[in-house]
Amino acid sequence: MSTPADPPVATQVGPPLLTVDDLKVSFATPQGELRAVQGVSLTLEQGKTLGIVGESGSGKTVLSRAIMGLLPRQSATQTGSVRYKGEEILNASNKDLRRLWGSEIAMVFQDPMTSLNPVLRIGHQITESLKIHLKLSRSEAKETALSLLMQVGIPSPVERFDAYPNQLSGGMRQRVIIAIALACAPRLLMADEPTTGLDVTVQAQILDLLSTLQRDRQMGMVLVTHDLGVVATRTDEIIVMYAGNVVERAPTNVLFSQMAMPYTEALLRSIPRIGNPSHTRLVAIDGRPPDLISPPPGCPFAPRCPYVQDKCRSEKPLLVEGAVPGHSYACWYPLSEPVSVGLRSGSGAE
Amino acid sequence: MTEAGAPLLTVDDLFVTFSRGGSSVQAVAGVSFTLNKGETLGLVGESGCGKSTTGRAIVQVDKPTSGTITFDGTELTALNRSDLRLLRTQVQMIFQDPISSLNPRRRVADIVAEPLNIWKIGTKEERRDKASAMLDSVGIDPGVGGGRYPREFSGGQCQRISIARALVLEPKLLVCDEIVSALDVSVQAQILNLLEDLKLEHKLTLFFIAHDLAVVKNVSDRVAVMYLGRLCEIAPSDILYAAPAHHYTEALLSSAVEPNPEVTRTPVILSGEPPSPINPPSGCRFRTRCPRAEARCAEEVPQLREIATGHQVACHFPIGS
Repeated sequence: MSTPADPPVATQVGPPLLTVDDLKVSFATPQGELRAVQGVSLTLEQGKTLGIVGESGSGKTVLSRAIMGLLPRQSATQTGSVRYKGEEILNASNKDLRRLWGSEIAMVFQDPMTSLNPVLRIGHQITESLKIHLKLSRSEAKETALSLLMQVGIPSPVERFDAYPNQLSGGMRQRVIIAIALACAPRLLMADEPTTGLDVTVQAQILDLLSTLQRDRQMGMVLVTHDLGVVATRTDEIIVMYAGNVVERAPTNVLFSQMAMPYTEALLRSIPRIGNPSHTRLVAIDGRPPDLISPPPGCPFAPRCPYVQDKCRSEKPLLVEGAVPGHSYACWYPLSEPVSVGLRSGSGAE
Repeated sequence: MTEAGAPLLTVDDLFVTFSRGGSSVQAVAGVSFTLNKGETLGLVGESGCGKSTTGRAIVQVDKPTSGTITFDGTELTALNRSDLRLLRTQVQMIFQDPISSLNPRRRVADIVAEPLNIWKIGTKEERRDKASAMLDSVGIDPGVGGGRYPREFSGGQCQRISIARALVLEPKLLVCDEIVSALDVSVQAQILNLLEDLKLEHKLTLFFIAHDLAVVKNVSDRVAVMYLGRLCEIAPSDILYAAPAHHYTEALLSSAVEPNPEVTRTPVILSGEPPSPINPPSGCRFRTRCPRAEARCAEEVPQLREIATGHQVACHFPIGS
């Protein structure tokens, strides 16, 4: 079976699939400049999955939309660099982006209920990009769309092809959205909270589906979520965001076993665990994230951090490389260092 | 005071049917359970299983079609309007969306004092003091926050205000419907801890509805699992999570994600999605997705039966039997 939806042979030499360098995004508001993303750098290789984790307001969705080029030009100021296969795409023209959207980079959005056009049959919504980007004929496009619906696990695809979105459940709609995203065999898939709002049994199905497709097609995938549980077993690397900053970045197993940033630890501790007995007291994080219009001068987590020192309130820590390759964190007093906090605060390390 | 552990709420063979046009949906189809004084009973299930409707039927927001709900010796389904209003001082409900459940045009202190005004409890000053004390106990500074409007607060703070409003009349039973599902995890932990403290302080009995299995386990003494309008299983929470007897409970537990890359479970991935409640399967409603279903499951509705002390399951072929 050789359809246009099948992946090309993956022989990648050269620049990484995605490189983001010191990306800053701010929005003009009546109260002042809201700095939603404050200098984020990352790379993603072909065939790898990167998790971006953060709570609401951390900047994870703005970051993923900036990478896609979906932020409104008038209100969002974007600086830095986003390169796809070495080509600069930040602030690229819509004409250039349209060449990439769908065929090279695709996105699965959060809300399966509103991402589909309610007045068009789902078959039309899948074949649209096949006809535009791959110049398929009507019958070829339909054949490909049916095979895609089958791949994403839609039962009786021939009947569903003519269905309207409101005739499908939330899980089925998200499968259709994934089918649309994958139609032109993109090399990079951005998935922004792809399972939020779905039931747990359906969530497991959708996450498994994404992992399988990502592996089979050797796509790069960015999985944006608020749920550390979602990324724990399905990513190669994780970036933790807080108040517009990357506060920790590590290979997935390193992040969970040797986390250095107190925020990552606090986030993990605040999650109720199925393995813990009932009525286990949760470790809540006091307070709330800082204001992004006039953020505090030091570490953005300092006002809520249990290990806060004077230095944290006055100087903003930068992302530094730790002992393990690929592990970096933005903290003056990282958790994994055995030196006591009291000693370190006197050392005056710059 | 009745002794702790006596039933405060008994739900017996509850049906709630919604009709529209020619078709009708049995959202709740024969649910029975008891809730003891001072206990937290969790109710989990996926969307559309009827868990919210069950909670709303207890508070009589959705009228039961048949069955009885006995609260503290009073049969609720037979009450007239004025007695029902009186009951609502005893049974309060907190909803999922903290922002839309507060009136955006009223100040927070007035929102919390409103139940006292309605029931004309105490003098004006006493009401204000009571509302302030209540706000204080949920972690909102009444001096600073009381004069503000809901839009000036975050989702977590609005949920605290909702809790204060629900508790200001000192109810005996609190029905919580997905009260943390719209909140970030760090705020969710604050609210769950707060609820645990208030439960002890006010000797509350809680009916806690949620879809998140770990959250439900954390707050509940016992947990009931619901599927397509019926209860599958009820057990003390530690037992239910360690040794589920219903195949649906097992599947639910195995599909939960855990923030731990070391966890390597072989999940029981259910095929498909729940069938439509308009036309539910005959016999056991889970049989169309159940890995163990046999002919008997299609013919005979499994009844909830006790398989161990306090552990009830509605399955012809429970796990471990």
